[in-house]
Amino acid sequence: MTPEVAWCIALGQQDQRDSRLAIADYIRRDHCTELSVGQLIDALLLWYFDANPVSLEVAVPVVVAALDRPTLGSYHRLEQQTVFHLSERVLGWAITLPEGESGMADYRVLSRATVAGLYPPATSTNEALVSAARAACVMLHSCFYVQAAQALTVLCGQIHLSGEQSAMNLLVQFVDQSYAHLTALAVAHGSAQLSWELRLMSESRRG
Amino acid sequence: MSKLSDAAEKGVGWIEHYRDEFSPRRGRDPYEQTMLLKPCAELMLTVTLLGRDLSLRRRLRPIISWAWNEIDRGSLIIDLTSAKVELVEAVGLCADFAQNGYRNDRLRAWLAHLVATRVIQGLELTPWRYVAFRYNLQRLGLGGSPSLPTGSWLGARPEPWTISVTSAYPLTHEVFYLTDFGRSPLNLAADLRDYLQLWLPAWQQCFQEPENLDVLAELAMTAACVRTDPEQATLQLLEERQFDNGSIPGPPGAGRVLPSPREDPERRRFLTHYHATLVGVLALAYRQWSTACESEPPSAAKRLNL
Repeated sequence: MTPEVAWCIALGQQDQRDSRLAIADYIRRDHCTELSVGQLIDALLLWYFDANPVSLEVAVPVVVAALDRPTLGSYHRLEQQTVFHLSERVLGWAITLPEGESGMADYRVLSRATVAGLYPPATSTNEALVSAARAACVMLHSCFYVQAAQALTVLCGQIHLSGEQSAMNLLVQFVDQSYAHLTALAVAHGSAQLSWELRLMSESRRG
Repeated sequence: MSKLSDAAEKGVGWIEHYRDEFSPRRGRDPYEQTMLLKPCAELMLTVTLLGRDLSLRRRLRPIISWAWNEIDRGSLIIDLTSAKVELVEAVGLCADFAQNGYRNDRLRAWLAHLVATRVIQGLELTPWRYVAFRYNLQRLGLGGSPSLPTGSWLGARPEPWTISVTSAYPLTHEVFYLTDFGRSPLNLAADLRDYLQLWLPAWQQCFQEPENLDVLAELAMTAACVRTDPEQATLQLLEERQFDNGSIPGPPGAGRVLPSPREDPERRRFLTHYHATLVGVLALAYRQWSTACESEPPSAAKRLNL
């Protein structure tokens, strides 16, 4: 099992208490002492979804695993903002990362920012919305299911923002079809990664 | 009408240069000649569509005249369909000749007879072939407007990511015939036009990797039929892959079922590439033939600025 899959299994525990312990277990393992900024965001999102506040005992080792090392690796400016935003809400204190990279963020980064409520910006256009739908379609066609789910998560956030509801029917239908299809695929393949992405998509659909 | 792009011009030049290869008389017997009605019908359709542009109509007129002589002014169609009622290609070919003013009263009476026979009700055509057949009968004045039969891919409006080579051809051709190649986009229901306008750009991306220029060109033509510009990446790819002689590479194995006496390599190369070249030229020259005659009410897709 790759560390990435192990991480997603930890995130995907159904029971709230189990998932927190699973994350702690993941970090305790020698080969997983370092978390990427993307993993930190996923952990923060998991706690963000939970009704009960996360304890320092659980949160601190995760934050340390992500931040306590000489270099953080590359991350996007939007991830930096997402970490700041989520940590403030979830932990009660903000984690301020150094300035991240600018430029086009990929759908993984955008999907997390969408679920955190930081994306899309109010100025987002229908063109961006349609681009996300078409990107998801192409990824599904190419069997890149995790990436497709990320684009769909972004699409769901954009649909909520759009005022043109009558024109959205096709896109809403597409989201429903894709969600059902990806859910069936996640079960059929026992994919923890896809299940986690679907949880994010599900949160984004709820708005 | 706008001027042909350099790539479209090269493609039209290839059609003119390789005209003789499209003759059904390249077949050694009536069986092979019947099979070779397909490339000939596709040539005629291409020339007819390009002929919607006045200057191209003048330029390509010699090809129509040549093809009419190759089928013995219609008599070859009577001969071939007497032996085997292979009507779909024959009717398409005749409809294009009729549209260009070439008529044979004996041929028309013969087709009218065949169309009235019971076998026409039982041709076991796939939905897109059924639409093609009805479209061409209508053009000959032998039937009413085509409509989408049950069981078609397009009629089902499937999940868009499920498109494949085997569904792309039927859906594109259903759009071609139902809209009269873009002349009447309103023949499609508004929700179907929205569906196509939303997903055609994504479908064009799907066939860029792995690359299938033949399908890409068909999808670009389909976009033009629903008043959407083909993706720039598609047109660019067609231009980049075009051979120096103006032809466009067909997918592996294309034209394999068509007869090539003595497996002449030059003839085989023609059979592999001719279809991609015809549809590629039509995609590259879409502005010359796709101008719609109807004014379109704003659709949901337009409201999304697709």
